[in-house]
Amino acid sequence: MSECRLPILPTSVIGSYPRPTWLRRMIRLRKSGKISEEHLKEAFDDAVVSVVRDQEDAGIDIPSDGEQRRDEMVEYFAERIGGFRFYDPIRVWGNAYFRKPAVYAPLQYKGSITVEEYRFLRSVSTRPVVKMTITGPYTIADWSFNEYYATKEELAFELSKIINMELKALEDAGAPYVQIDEPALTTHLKELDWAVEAINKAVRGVSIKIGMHVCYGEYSRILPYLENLRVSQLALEFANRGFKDIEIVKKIPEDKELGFGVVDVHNRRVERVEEVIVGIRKVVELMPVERLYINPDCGLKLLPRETAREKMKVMVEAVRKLRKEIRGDGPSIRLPQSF
Amino acid sequence: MVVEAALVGSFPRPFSVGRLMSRYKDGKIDPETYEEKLEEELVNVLRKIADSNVSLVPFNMFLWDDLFEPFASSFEGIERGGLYRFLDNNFYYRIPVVKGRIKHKDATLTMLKTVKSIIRRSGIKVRIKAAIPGPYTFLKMCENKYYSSEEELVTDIAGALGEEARMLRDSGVSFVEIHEPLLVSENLDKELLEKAYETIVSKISRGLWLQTYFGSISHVLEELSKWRIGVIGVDVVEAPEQLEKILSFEEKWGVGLGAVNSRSTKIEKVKQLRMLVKKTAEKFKDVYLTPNAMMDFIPVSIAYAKIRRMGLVIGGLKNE
Repeated sequence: MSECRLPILPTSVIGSYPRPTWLRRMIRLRKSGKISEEHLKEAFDDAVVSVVRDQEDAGIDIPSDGEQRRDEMVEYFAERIGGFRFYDPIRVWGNAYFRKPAVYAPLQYKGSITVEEYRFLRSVSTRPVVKMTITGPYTIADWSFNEYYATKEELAFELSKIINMELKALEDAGAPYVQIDEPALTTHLKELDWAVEAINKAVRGVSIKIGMHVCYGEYSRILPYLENLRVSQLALEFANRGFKDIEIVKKIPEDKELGFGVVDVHNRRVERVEEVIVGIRKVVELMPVERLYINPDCGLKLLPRETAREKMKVMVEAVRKLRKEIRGDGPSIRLPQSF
Repeated sequence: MVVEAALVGSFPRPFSVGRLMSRYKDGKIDPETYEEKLEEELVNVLRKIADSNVSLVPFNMFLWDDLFEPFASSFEGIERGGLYRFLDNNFYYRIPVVKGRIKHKDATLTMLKTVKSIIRRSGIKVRIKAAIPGPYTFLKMCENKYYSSEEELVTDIAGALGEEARMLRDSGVSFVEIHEPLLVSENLDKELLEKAYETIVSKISRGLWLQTYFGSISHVLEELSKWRIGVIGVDVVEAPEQLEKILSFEEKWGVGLGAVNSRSTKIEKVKQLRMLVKKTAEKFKDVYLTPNAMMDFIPVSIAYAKIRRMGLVIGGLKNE
């Protein structure tokens, strides 16, 4: 067990990253039966190497594997948990679709879902800390059709058990940092009491660093629950909303860090370095810099790869400029196994 | 007396259409091919709906990205901004950002004419209505960077939307369907609402369909009775309790009975739907069996299954 000290304003990503064009082609070829599963796995591995390289070249301190093996954040887990089925895709916005799963039978953990992803990421990244992402129980429940359980609450708590097993498997494999993605959390005010409980149940008995990502909602709704939420970081989108609502960061409890979203992932315009600096300066005035991480608003996967790369570079450049004037130690992360 | 099956808001955009639109946007297909393929898709969907005995549909179907798109793109003083959650769904709209004085400019009329001509050419037997966002919902779901008060803003929004409604009505749609999901809000600002509807109702004297969803409007029925509303669309899936209140209300509205769940893959039972329609038809002259909201939240295959079920119910009742 060792401690890794990060630079001040450590940079990270939320998780997903655009798939290389050739990977998309390989996936199509696999779907039409023209290449084997083994060939596709090789392509996935190569894609992870490429996108980790993109992130590290851009200067990201904590990379992810870009979720290259995942078509979509809920679908990927639903495909690997017993009890789900799929219909045709539904639209989420514009022309972005996802295959919303339906629960039709009791849920069943069929074994590790992301451990191999972690092991491969660990083997190809040069950074001491890497980030794994897992979709949270509440979001899987909210973004699925429930055809089996009596209530959504019951479904979410069943999912908590499964996510808990997965987190423990990642911890056993040596993952230092897992982010639970809960973009749906702010959606239904009346469900927040048990939604937070479901997340806490999912992380029970897990001692590695756990972050949580929420986006595109009213953050003020979750403020009263943050004290009791057993995660150590909140990664929130702010650039998309023009840094509106930023004042709420003052209410984030002192035991929690903020992953601050500074580039818009749904807009192809690449921000200027100065714009990002202005955004970061705003947040630095509101909370201690030692508790801040800098990241894009959300996963970058829907952008063209070149745009995603440029946005990361701009983000890192802005942070590097600020590091010249903001001195001090950054946060530290415990590494379960030596790197 | 009318007992009819109708859709509200929009129909889920088939994946093939989404791909077609993306390819067009990326310059991978030319405008002629795009128009031709889009027309094929539209005809295919409309034909299936009409064959299911559902005879009243919003003309925009799957053509808009979200309820606000054409208006935020066309009206002067408004631009489209970042993505925001549409109510409590995992579905997002581009927020209309008000940056100047709002003035009406044709937003949907050209599209209406195109769709009407497609329907005529293909001989599909459907009547059409036109969906537009309601001024109150627009007010609460936009970002205001220009007006100094909500009152001024809602007056101009209602003016522009009312003008659009008038033009659509004059172009021969059966109804202008005004979407006001925020009427279900417990913190409704009734003064602003009245202000908005004075303007709307002054522009469109008949054929107004007020569509609400994801909650109850029991607390606002008195106010609604002041306006000339042709049909009031209510959600009896998520707020079934409001049906009794509406049935006890002495009004001459037609009722859009939102009894088909547009957020669930479970298919409704014919018997249950039939019972609800019959009960409502005992009190109200015109009853339209509808989904409780737009159907964007369910897969196309499920939407078709639900539409067939609606058609079966209406077909059965007409035979009685």
